[in-house]
Amino acid sequence: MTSLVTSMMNLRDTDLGDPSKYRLIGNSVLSYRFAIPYDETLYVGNILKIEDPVKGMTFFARVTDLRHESNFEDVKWDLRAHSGQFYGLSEDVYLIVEALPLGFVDRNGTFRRPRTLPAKFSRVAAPSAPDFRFLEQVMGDVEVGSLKSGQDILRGVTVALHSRVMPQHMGVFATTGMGKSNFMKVFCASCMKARRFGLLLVDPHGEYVAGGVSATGEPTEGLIHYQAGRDGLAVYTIRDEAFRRKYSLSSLFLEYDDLRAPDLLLLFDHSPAQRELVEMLEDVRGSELVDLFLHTEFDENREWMATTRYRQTAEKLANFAQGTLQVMKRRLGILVRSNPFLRAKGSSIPDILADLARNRVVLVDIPGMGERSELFVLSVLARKILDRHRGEASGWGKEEVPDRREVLITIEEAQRVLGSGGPGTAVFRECAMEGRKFGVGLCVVTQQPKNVDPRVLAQMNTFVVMGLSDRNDRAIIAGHAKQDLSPMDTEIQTLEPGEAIISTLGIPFPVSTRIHLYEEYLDALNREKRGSLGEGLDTRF
Amino acid sequence: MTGGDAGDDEYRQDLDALVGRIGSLHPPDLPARFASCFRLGPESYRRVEPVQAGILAAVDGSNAMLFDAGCIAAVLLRAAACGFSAGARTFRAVTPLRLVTLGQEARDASFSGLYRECFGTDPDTGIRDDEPERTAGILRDTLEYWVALRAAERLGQGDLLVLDGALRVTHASHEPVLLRLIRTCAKRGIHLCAVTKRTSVTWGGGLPLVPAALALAKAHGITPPWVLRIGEEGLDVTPYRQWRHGVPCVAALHPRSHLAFRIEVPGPTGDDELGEMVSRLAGWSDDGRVTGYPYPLLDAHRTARIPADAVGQAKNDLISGMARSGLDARSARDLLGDLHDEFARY
Repeated sequence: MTSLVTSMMNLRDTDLGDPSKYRLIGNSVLSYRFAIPYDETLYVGNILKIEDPVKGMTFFARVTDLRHESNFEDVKWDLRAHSGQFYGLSEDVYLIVEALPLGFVDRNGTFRRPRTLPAKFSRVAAPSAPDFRFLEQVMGDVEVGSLKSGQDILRGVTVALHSRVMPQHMGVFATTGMGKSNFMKVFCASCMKARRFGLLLVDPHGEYVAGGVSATGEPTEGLIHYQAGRDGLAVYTIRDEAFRRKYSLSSLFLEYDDLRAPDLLLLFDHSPAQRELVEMLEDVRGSELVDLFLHTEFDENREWMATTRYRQTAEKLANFAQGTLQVMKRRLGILVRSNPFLRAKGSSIPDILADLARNRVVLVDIPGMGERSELFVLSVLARKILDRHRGEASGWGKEEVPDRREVLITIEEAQRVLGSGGPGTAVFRECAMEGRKFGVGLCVVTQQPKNVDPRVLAQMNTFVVMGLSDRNDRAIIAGHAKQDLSPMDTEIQTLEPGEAIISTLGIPFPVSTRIHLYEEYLDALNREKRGSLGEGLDTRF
Repeated sequence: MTGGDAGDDEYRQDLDALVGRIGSLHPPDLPARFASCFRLGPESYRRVEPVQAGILAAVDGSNAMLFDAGCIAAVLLRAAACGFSAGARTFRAVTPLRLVTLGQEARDASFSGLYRECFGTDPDTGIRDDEPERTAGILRDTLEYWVALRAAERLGQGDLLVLDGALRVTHASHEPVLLRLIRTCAKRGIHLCAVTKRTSVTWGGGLPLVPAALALAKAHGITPPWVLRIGEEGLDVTPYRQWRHGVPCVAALHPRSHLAFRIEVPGPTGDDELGEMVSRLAGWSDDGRVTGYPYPLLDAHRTARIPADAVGQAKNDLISGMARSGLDARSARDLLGDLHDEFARY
């Protein structure tokens, strides 16, 4: 007997094709893995589709990592090479792609979260714009850019935030030169177009109203150049009459009664005694504060108390030292003198609140006024807005309230007022912690998220990350975003100016976005007759 | 004991003896002695230019012992041929993985059956089949020769067929097969040679051949690629001449490699033809992974190789098959009891 079959021996040509590439070999619902040729060009951030014909599902995943691997047992084979020639290298050397599942489109065309995974060896392919039709289901009404896939953008696939989510606080995180101002202008223009909530923006640099010069020296356009959406914009400015007339802008004025003593905490450092004095005067009207302190000489013998007409307030001040009162006097004097828009009577705030209630973008334009003025205006407006909304107490999320008002307050360099301490930032902290209940949200703009109070970050439902080089900053962001951004760390590190990772409620996964260039977006908006911007645009991948 | 115990005198003496023996293989006057023994000078080294011309096909085989229970053993076999031309592989062919029993040739006719499958005739000479490793080698050679004949059919005038090993058979039954291969190649104008990764050929009373050729080349400042014919009269071992059909040479194939190999070409091969063959070998020896070794041979080796996971799979298949036939795992283990796998776990 023989253990061998009796047929003739045969010699088979083995398949010279390469079926091992572009097929799913990962084993987790949390991350996909597949191999591609070692010389293939693929980028971190590329979005790929995995078709599972068995289940009738199309999965989508974003490339998070690429690394060289080989079938060779010697892991250092590449260090020992004695020549540059390698025959048949592609059979054993390849790139392993790690990809983050984004979700899948089921048989009914509905996009779902990635709670299942494709069949083993499902084919991986580059998607085209039509594959992303499902995104139209999940995108919002505040357009900011185009969906990015690796180095390319998917033309016709726009990224739009949900206006209903915006007042649930938003963070814009970007280092200098990453296109933060451009993003804000695009965001403002879309808000002017959508008119779904009021947006407040205080601009101490004067770059938003009529444009200016970009970080690269290029002239830029401003919000007033969005002619088709002009009705969605209200500008309050301290500029001269000629400028105001040219662009039909309003003058900015605050009156003394808009002022409250705690505003000083934001603008000056205070000793414990000085802080106690400020807190004591919290409920005193601004006009009384200014009149009392600016027209009173606080003598050592307290003779001033006998002559002042503000007896009730004077009694509160009785226990404070002359020096403390003089500091208060000096600081109020600085505040009044350095803010020419601050006057005894006549305030723009009622108009500003009305414009916000009309869901306009309200731009407070105070060029050349300095940080103190900016923070003062911001503090006053934030308090007034919060008070108004508290008073109305219309609440958020109550569908039966027919005319709920929603306002988003933009705070640039927000780490100044939303750091981890200081009573001077109380109004902003209140907005962050309680504002959502009253329809007041914060748009926190900062390049140092690690210096923003983590409790504030935890309140945010929208993160716009435009490149952060500091590892701690990225870790803070990843730790607070509602969607897991940690697998996108490499992509965040490699973001180029004008690119962003956006994580927001309503869009089921973090989207890599090429923010529209404002001038181009403006051009499209002004030419727009009707329909979405995507119509008629190039939809090729 | 996991290694030598340096505290034992006997162990140290053994180690010293081994070191001395190895040292004696590379005496200080090695180049001079080698040159004198074979009457070699710098002109004896033939310099060649690396070229890639026509097709270069390489053949290799592989065997892996599945188990060895003393009274019965089983081996996995396969062989492959790979053809290359113009910088890329043009074909790759491999036999099916074969599973052959050893140790009971008289009953199982494993060798003769395989031989008959390959060549359509019974072997002239049977095998003793009392040493599984040796029998496995003969079976592997059987497949390799058959694959070499099939590969030769795909080649044409001027192509080169390279075997892994020597133009010398290790079993009498392969003698007519090798002769048939040599004649087929000669008739069709195909160049034939064999390249040996490891050789037992010695000279001068046990000195290895290849290091001596390298040392003499270095002494003369001759850089690869080169080939050196070796006169048979200087070689040591008489059995080497048995069933031999090749002329021994040594070749170094890449200037940045320390590797050299014994190569063999059929008897009447002239110097020009030898140079042409070595040029082609050198032309394919520039791969960065094993620089200095003809890449087609490496490719054939990797194609035929039977990796550990394939052996593991075959073991699982065997256990499954036995279970299907009603043999429980315990009985199977009793029958095939090979403790090496058990030992390997510790």
